[in-house]
Amino acid sequence: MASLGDSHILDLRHVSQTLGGNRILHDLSLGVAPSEFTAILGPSGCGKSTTLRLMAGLDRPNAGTVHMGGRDVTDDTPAMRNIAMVFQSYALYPHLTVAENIALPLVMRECKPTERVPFLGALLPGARDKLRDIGKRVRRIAAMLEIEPLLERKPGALSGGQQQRVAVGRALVRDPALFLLDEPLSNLDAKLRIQMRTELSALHRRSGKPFVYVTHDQTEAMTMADRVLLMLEGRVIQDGRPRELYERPAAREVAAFIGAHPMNLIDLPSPAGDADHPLTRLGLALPNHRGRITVGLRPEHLRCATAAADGFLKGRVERLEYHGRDTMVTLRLDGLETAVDLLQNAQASSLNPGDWVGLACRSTDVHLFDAETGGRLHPTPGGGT
Amino acid sequence: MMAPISRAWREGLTDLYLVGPTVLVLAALVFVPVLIVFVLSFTDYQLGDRSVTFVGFDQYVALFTDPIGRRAITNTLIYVAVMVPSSILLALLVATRLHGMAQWSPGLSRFLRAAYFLPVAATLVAMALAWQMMLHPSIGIVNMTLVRLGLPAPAWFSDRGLVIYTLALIGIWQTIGYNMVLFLAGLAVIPRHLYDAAEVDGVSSAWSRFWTVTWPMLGPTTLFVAVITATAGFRVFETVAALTGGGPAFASDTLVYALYREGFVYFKVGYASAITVVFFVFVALLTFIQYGLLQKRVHYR
Repeated sequence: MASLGDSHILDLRHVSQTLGGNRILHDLSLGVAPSEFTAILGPSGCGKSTTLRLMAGLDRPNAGTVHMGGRDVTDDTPAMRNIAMVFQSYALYPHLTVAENIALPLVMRECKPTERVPFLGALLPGARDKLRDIGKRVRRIAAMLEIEPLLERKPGALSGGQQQRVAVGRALVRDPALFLLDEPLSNLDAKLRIQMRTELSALHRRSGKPFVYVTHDQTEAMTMADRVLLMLEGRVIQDGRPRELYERPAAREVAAFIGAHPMNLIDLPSPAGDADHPLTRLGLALPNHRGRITVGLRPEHLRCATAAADGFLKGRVERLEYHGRDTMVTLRLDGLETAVDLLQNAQASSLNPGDWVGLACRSTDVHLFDAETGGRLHPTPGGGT
Repeated sequence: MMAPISRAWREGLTDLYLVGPTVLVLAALVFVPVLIVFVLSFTDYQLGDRSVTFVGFDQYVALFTDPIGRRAITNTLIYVAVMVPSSILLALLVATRLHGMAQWSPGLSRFLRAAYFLPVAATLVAMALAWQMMLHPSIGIVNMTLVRLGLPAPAWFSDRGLVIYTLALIGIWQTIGYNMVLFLAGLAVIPRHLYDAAEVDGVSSAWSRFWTVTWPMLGPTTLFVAVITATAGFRVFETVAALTGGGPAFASDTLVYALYREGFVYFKVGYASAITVVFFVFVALLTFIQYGLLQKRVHYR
């Protein structure tokens, strides 16, 4: 993580959070760069929503500080931080119309308590102009999100996608310093989710504001984000561009999490001095490592060797799964208790269950991890030691 | 040989077989008695009479013109008007406080919930005696305290202008616990993310949070509580019977107590039936107004 400190919009510095006796976050530090789309990716329970709530100011960390623009905002409310948040369940006020929902943050910020009294407030001098101005801004946002015809409806009468837009509108209207989105698409059906993904990306580009997007869906994180923070058990395991997470996973957990098809992870003894070791056969060496290793191979990077004996590993076809363009081949490895998947062009595939197959792979597509710590190992080319 | 019955007939018979018993029981225990009461209210029937004479609306005219009848009606309306809003407001206050208290002192919150609910579970007649002791004009703890503080000591049960309010006070005490439980249930299902959203939107004070989230979200609960409490208010009987017997001089007479007295003490069945019908119309009207007019406004469709 580069120490960009002051150029960040928001920084969490050494924050820890304990909820109900469970430590959710421990000494977490991260920053949000201006105008960047940052995704916090992780399985449920990894602390990503807790992190977002700390950024928002909805919760206060047990330890550590939150900084915005170089200022300590740990004790500031969400409104003081001028952040906007879109919730998974949209969290629209059911008794207010769409227009009133979108206007609420503006009314709260710009009108005095006396001016907020229903009916009577509007009679106060100045209040009417303020309300007219707010109404104008609400309509502008509604036009941008194409929800103008819905302005007088109640949220209960809207579809999930429409409610989503209203929630985004309520976040946009106040011109916030930072957008926080907590799994905003997970309540939508698959088709709408893809459409909203495109729209949110476009919205991010148009607004030029920093977005922090929490999700458990790697496709959302990988397709939308400029930068992905992969979180596991309260820690950021890897922080990088989507391409880095896929091509150079920093740890076994990242490798296992990222990728449309789960990566094959094969536990092997140290290759040191073993001329027949699969790594040696691939032309890779680990001169500085002695313990057991985990070899990571993506199904899409594995090929069948021309002859079964040519491969760096050998296995017997156990199952074939037809996917249209591709066929997923599951092999039981010879002499190991592991099965591996490989993805093959369906047209080219002529395999049958029971066939012996040799595995081939470019040595640059092989990921190596320490079997004990899970950390990434860097092999050197050349067989043997 | 049996003629084959058509499918529609067969399904019709099944429906009848399934619904029939319920309808019969309901008719025997509810609809027919209501109808009989309704018919009797147009007669001058007294228990033991060998014949009945239809007198039209005479019983109703008597109820609304007779000072005692009117007293019972106005007393009931006063009782409801005082008891219902106070009970709802206080129950809401108690529920919101206890709901918040559960965050920092769950044990105390649970204990207080039980304490507030006790009057609902207790035998009202026994509790009424306790009230009688406490509100005794000279040796009751309330008046003794008032006198010590140099305040006037009211005659809670014998002052004609005061007695109905005293009963309303006991009514409030008696219903708060039940309403509180309903409000607590309503509060428990308000989604937490709405409060989060409100906080992000700049709704910062407890007061505006209440009006932005809590109160609107409690709409359906409040409507239900209002209907239940109003119905209970119109039905007030036990405290009147146990504490005042409708006295002094009918100053605490209520519709149901009058109905009991006329019907079961004086056996004036026709007159008691008319009171019952009036009582029924009040409750039905109120429920209709509350549900018919407010239903749409609390469910936000």
